[in-house]
Amino acid sequence: MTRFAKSLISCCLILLPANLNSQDLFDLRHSREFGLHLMQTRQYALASQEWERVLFLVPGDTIARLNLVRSMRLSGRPELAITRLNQWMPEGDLPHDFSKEGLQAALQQSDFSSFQTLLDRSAALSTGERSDFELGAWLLEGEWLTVPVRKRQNNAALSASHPSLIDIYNRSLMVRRKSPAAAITLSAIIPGMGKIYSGDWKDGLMSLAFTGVNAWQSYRGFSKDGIKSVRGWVFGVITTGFYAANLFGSWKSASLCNNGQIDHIRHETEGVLFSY
Amino acid sequence: MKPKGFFLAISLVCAAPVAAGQGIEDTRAYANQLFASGRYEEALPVFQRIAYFNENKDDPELWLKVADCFLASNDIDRAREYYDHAYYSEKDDSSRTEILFRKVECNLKNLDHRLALVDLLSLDDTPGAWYFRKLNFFLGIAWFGCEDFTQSGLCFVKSTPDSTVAAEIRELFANPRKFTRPDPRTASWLSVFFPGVGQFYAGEVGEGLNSLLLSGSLVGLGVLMAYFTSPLDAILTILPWFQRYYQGGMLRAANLAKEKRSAQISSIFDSTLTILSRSANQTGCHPTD
Repeated sequence: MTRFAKSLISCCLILLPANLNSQDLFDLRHSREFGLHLMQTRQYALASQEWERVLFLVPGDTIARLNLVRSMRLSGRPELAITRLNQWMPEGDLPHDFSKEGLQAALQQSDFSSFQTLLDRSAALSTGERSDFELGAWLLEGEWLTVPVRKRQNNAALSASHPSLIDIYNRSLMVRRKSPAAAITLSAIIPGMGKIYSGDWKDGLMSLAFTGVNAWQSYRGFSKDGIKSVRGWVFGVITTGFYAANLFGSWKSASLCNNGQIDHIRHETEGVLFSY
Repeated sequence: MKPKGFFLAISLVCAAPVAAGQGIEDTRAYANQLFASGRYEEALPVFQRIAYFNENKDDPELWLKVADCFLASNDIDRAREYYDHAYYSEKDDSSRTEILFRKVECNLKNLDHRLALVDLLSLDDTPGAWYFRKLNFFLGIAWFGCEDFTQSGLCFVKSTPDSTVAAEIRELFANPRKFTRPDPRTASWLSVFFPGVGQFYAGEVGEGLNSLLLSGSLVGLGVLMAYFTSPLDAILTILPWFQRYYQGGMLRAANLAKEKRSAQISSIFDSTLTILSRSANQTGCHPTD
């Protein structure tokens, strides 16, 4: 083989890696690009696999870590996101974007204990952002409904920055809790009143009608024929059944009303916080 | 070592790691292997990767594979999207028609019968077309889903070359009353005039007797109360009960009629598919071929 041919072959072999590496679809550059594409097309489960590959190639890649945590959270695995976060940064303050992701992941799985721990490590957040998360957690937890309206307030609202969250908070201050005990007491006095108190007036009127009419028939029976009245006893038993069911129904109605109000506020808060 | 030998050795060392890289063709071969062995969930991200980085965006075979993988994963919306990509990038008419049929399968699987009809009616339905039987088979299903049973029957008949089978299918679809009776509104109105009759009309004798006895007993009790106490007593005591059971009976009669009718219609559909399948197994010609 001539000297020229050997040199040519050698040059080709040296240049070959540079050419072929640009076509390697599983290398770092392509994996990053594809990972971003999968996130843009909302295929978060596949995106998280892609970011795992990137981190395997470059373990300390901060952007890949952030995207991995985000895609895990968005694919419905917030607990995994928090686990990885704690593996990379077991202690100390978290960077700004990691703080937000961690807090959102904790709230997504209603883990308020983890939320508080992560919040304590979120010094990188601004005052407004921190207050937004505190206020959001307060709204999501739902305990605010047990506090009387006149005492219900959250200091985080004073420094919160997100207008939608502040609006939800202001509306939560006006939500009145229905006391199950009060509902039972009202229904014990007048059957059906407890359900009307909880807003279920149609069912309340039916309870009143059924219990009242049957009680009246029982009374009529006993007044006419005394203690041996069959009619009195039959309608008396029916009345007792309806009365007991009315008490249970009133308690249930008040509980459902409260749960409905909390769920409504919760869903609105989730919509704001998880797209933060 | 001599300089030229050293130079050659260096170039070989540089070339060696290249073998570890996976280009588009290697990746494609790997994806095809996964697809062929039915591992659609694993094949999907690999095909998507190829589609994203492939410079040639008009690759109908690739789009088709991605669509098939999405369909296998029950992601109907994305499957439809990629069938559209495959359709518009395919140049060959026969292949385009095949892709359209796959998209129609997608729509039928998702119970989007109207969307399936839109695609099917865009095809030429002359008897000479190679896909004539397949087209009419899918049209039969789509029209059935849209509750146009007359059209559906006609299309199913056209989907089979066997005249005996065609006659059997004609017979199944011959009586339109099988698709419209029992009528829920009729059942409801019958129960308005006489409790329990709506249930009898719907073919539910037990339910009808139950409704009749219950309503009748309450009426009887009311009459007795009116006689032994007063009409006001009877009305106030019995009427709330009667009203609840009477109204419930009407709704129940309508629901029973609706369920009975749905069951009949499903039975006709199952029988049609059984007849066509049996014929296809005997002749070796499936309508979807």
